[in-house]
Amino acid sequence: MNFVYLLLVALAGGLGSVLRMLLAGWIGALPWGILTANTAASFITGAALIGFQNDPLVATILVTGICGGLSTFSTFSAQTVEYFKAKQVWRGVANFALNFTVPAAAALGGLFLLYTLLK
Amino acid sequence: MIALVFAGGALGTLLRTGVSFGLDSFTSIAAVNVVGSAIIGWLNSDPRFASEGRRAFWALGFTGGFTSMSAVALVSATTFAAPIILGQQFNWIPVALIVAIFALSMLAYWGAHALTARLTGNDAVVSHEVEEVTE
Repeated sequence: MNFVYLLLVALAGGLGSVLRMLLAGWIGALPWGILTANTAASFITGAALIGFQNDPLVATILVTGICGGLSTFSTFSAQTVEYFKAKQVWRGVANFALNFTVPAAAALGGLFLLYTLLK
Repeated sequence: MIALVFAGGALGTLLRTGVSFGLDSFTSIAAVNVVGSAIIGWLNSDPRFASEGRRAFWALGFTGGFTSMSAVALVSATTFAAPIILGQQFNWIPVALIVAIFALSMLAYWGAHALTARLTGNDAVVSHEVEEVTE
């Protein structure tokens, strides 16, 4: 991976982070914006790995850059632990369960959708 | 604000990419998420990072860009969901490892937050994003 390649991945990560920031304000009973960012990033990751399997540059910019920047594990950890610290146990459990299952299902959906479309 | 999040996210992404060069895929995903969760645990209780600009760059940008839920989701999808759908033998080891990433990351956040609170004498969360969530 040369310098220009790394720079493009980093800039894509910056773009993904700004998109996440715009979604992060959507907070209701749970932090829906972060769950949406994680789910969308996971779906695009699965789809891009199949859709751009012959173009590793584009796949890396999308998967490592944009999707890596759009999704976040640190905010999930912080929000879930803070729910438990605030004794809001069910919100903590729900946030954990949703972030454990929904992004994984979205990644699987992206993989299978593109696999089916390109078969 | 947007420029700071962009710059922090780009730096975090660059560092995550660098970590992935030196380690196998699973280890690098585990490392960035556990370390990134510890970093945000520190940032969330250190008053030096309470300003809007520093939070934008370090908390929203850098740690968000350094960690990745989509990478964990992809590993989850390919290691334990796909074998079920494809009718292959189910393997509990990858499931346990993925659960370990989640558990260790939250433990790292809690530990770093508690340690920083003790060192700085500040027990309150300095992040208004966290306050909004637990309101």
